Amino acid sequence: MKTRSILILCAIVTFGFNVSGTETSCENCHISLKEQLSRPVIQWRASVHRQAGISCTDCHGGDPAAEKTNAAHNREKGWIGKPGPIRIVKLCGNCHADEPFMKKYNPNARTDQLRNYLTSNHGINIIKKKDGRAATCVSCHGAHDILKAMNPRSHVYPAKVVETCAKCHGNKKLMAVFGISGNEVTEYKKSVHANALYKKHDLSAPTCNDCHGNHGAAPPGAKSVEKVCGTCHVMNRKLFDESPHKAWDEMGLKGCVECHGNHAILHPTDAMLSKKGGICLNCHEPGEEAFKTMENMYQSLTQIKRKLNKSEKLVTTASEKGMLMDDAMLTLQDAKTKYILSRTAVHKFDGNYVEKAVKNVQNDVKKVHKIAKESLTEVEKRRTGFYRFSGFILILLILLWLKIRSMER
Amino acid sequence: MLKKITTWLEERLDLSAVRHLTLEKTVPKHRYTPFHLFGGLALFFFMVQVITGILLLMYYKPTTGNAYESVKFIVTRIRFGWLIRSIHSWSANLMILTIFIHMFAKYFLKAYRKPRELTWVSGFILLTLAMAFGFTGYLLPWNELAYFATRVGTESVGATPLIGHWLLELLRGGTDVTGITLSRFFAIHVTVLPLIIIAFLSIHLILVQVQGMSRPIEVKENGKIPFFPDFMLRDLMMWLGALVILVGLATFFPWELGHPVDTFASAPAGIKPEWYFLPMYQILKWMPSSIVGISGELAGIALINIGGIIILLVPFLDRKASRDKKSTWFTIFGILALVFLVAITVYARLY
Repeated sequence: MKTRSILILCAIVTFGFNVSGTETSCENCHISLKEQLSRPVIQWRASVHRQAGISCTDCHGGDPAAEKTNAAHNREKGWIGKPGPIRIVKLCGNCHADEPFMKKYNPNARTDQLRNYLTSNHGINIIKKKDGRAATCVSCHGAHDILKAMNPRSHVYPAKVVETCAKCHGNKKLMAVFGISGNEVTEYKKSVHANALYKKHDLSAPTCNDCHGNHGAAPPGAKSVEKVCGTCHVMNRKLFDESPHKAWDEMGLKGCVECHGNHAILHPTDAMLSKKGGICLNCHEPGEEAFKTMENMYQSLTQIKRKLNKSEKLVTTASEKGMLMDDAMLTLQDAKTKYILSRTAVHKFDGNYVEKAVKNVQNDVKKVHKIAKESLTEVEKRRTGFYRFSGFILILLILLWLKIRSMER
Repeated sequence: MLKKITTWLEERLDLSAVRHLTLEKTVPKHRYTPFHLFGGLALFFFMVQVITGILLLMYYKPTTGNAYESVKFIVTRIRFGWLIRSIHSWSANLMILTIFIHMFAKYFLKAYRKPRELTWVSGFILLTLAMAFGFTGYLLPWNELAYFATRVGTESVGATPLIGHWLLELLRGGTDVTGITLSRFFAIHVTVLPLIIIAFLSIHLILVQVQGMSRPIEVKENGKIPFFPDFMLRDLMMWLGALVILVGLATFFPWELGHPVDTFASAPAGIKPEWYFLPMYQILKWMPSSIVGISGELAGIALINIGGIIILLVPFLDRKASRDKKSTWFTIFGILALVFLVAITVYARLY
């Protein structure tokens, strides 16, 4: 009886070993090695590749069934060890550029990454110039800890992209080799885009890859990085193309970048149109027609901003005093939207066009101002009414008190 | 002329009760006499509620599509609508505050002792009815805060053992807070509760008239004050003062209308009930998920109910006071209860 029990126990235990047979000898062996050699297993176990059933041998080759190291690391069985930069690109491309293969996992999966990568400076340096210092797939996505791009732990998650690029592009010494300053990341972090991404946690705010492309040299629909802004700032681009500055293309000037910069794009202010240090003065002289246009646009925008702020303050005051300001707030919201449009109108560099846009704001501001003023007058009326009422009651209270005293005497 | 009318009425009716109230009824005069005024003040706020409530009823529409807009219409388009609505909201709160002051004053003066046990019991019922008025009225503007507060408030009713689910559905008119809940709360607020409160208020006032006002234990009485007109004039002064405060609050701090309900939105952060429900809210919040196998919510509700029953039965528990002797332990209990209620309310409001 006792022997039978031991046999059954042994059978269960050995069955248990068989169940874990999906584990390869790579995993079994590497997990017990020192950190540098065991970390790849730990990272891979949490990766998207493990979920998809892509194992060590799919990239590194070798014999996953072999027990001994030498047998597992057998070059005759295709073991390549740690792949070099060119091999990495080819290895990743084997699957990721294979449309039928990738569609098995995701019917909407893109398979143009390799093609785009080869057009990029990274790809050109690696493949054509055989310069292994440039970035390959693993430089951005990680070697073993590869996760889907929208996984917050992924190296290419929007909030992490800048730090991922900074691993190389923040290294001034390395960047100097390629004729790049290495200040790009520091400058980006000062920008309005970084502010939206890090402070407002707006994941749609542009990071490095949104302008420079994910794998290729520029994102789809943009011929070059200078033309990228228009993919988000559509209205600004349209107005710019209708403006006299359209000629910049032929002059070899870089569109948006000329006024707003490239990485350190700060929040645009009206001061950019000011005759004291405005951006237009970089090219235009006082007395020119363009200078007058700039001055007019500056006057219109600053004046309407003052009026808008004043009306908003009045609405807030009336609201704080207990007045229901829903209608005024709705109109104010409209006015603010129109104000943004009037600032966008600047990109046409046409004084009349800006003036027309500002007038639209002015109409709403007038309405808001009127409602707020009426509300504040009503507040004063109510308060005056209360003072009169309380005065009357006070007199009544004094008379009652005197009456009570006279009765008690 | 007045004499002629009185004679004409006396020939037809027995006016002895009125005569007793106007000519014979007195109020004991001692250092705590001003505390007797709070009962009258609560009655004043109740009358304000009735009058402003009727005025609001003329324009209010109790449907999900119209409730918020009708209140907005009242405060923006109707002449003095803003004042009426704000006074109604402020007066509701001041009425409950005054009832609390009145209750604690009567508690510390041991006015509940024999033979006024029923006056105390009816008074306690009036307090719970006033709170029920507050709870049902809070939903009526159908704004965001009211909607979510009612959802949370009615949910705790569902924790009652055996009948909880049934009670919840009865109150809500379904499984969730919907237009049916609004109609139901409106009906309860303007018909059911007024009928019940008038019945209990009548009992309470009749008992006060029949038994007169109590004299605190071992307090020296400095004569008596005629109820009419001397005490009545003091009441009137208090009422006029309260009216100025009410109008002042409505003018300087108009009651907010909030945002219309969006049933698909998540509850706003930091949502809390009205101040008079905060002690209950905080007790339920402090409760662990379970206590010795009983759900924490249920234990919290049981604790609140036990507290309420103890307060209701105070006249029957305080045997010493009923023999006209000082009951120090009950005074200490009252002080502790008052400190606890104030502290927990402040804590719940701040954190």
